[in-house]
Amino acid sequence: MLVTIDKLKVGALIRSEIKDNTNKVVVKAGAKLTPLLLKRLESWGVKSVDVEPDREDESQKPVVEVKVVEKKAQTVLDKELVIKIAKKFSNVREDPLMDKIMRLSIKHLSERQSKIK
Amino acid sequence: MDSFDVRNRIEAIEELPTLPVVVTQILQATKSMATNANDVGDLISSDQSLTVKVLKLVNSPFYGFPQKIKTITHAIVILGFSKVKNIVLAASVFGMVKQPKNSTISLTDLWEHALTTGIVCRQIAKHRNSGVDIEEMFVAGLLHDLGKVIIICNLPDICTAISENVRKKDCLFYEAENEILNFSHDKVGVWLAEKWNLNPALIEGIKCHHDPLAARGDKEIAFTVHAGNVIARALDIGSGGDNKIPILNAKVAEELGLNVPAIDKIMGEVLIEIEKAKDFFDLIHSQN
Repeated sequence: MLVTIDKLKVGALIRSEIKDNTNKVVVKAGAKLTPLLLKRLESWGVKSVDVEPDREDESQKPVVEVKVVEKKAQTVLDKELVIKIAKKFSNVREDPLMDKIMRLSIKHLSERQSKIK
Repeated sequence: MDSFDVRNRIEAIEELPTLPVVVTQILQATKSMATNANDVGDLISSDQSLTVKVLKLVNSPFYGFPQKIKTITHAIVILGFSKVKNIVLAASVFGMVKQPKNSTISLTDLWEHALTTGIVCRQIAKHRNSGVDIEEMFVAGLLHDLGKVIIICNLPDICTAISENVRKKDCLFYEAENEILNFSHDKVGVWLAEKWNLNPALIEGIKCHHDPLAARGDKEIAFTVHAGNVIARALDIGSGGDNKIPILNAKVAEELGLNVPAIDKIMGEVLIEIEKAKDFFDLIHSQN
C-alpha cells in the first residue's frame, strides 16, 4: 500500500523499488525501512512509498490502492500521479460516484502518460 | 464585501472584456430570421485575422472533414450556420484579454480547463444523441468560467484574496469566492454574458454550472456544463484556479445517463478529441 512519508514507520517492508530522477534504483524492493533510510527518503523529496500493509495499525490506510504497473520504470511517476489525483479528490471521496470517477481518472491519465512516453 | 459593491465595481470597469465588433455583429445577425449564409460569410470575411483562425479550426481534425474547406462560404455550406457561429465565438474568446502581470492565476491554464470542459460537454452531447446542437454544448462548456476571466483581469485585489483563501484552505475557487464575496464567478459570468447578449441557454449554463438543479427551462445545457466541468477537472488538464474537484450531482448524472461505464467511455473519447483539438490549444498559447 502507498503510505505518505510522514506516516511511514521504521521497520516497514518496502514493496516496490524506489528510483531517483535518473531512473536509477536507489532502494530495492524488500528492503526494511530504517531510521537512516527514512531520513534519506525525506531528503530526496520522496512523497510516498509502497510498503507491505501493517495489519496491526488500521490508521495507516492507503491513499488509494494502486495496481503495480507492468513497466517498473514508470512506477515512481505513476505514484506521483496517483497522489496528485487522490489529493484533488480528497474532499469528495465519500461520494461513491466521485470515488469511482477518481479511479477512472487515474486509469486514463496513467494510460495517457505511458503513451506520451 | 457584498455582491452589490462588486457589481458596481464591475459595471464601472471601462475595459470590461469585449468581443471583437465583427463577432458581436455575427452573433446579432444569426439571431435574425432575415440573415442568410452570405451575410454571415461577408461579416466573417471582412476580418482577415478571424477568417484565418476560423478556417484553421474548421480544417482541424476536431471537425474531421475529409476535404479542405477553403472559404468561409464553403464552411457555412458544409458546416451550417450555427456551427460556424460557434467556431467564430470560440476563435475569439481566447484573445479577448491579456494575462495581467503578477496575477495569481494563469489565464492559459484557465482557458485550457475551459476548452477541455467544452470538449467534454460536446462528447456528453454526442453520447446522449438527444438532438441537441453539440457545438452549442461545446461553446457552453468553453464559456462556463467567463466570470473568472473578469475576476483575474479586472479585479486583481479580489483575485489575490480568493487565491490566498484557496491556498490556505485547499478548497475550490468557488468555495473561497463565496466566503469572501458571498457570491461566485458564475454570477459575474452571467453579468458579462448578458452584456454580450449571448443566448439564454448559454447564460443558463454559466449561471448554474455549480448549482444545476436551480436551472430553469431546458436544463440540458446547465446539466451538461455541470457534469463537463467535473469530468474536465478529473482529466487534470489546465486549472480552474484550485486543486480540488466539485461533486457531480447524482440527479444530474442520472438524468444525463452518466453511469460509471458511460463516464469511462467519455473520458477515453475526450482524451482522443483533445489530441484532435491541438489547433484550439495552440490558439490559447499563441494569444496568452
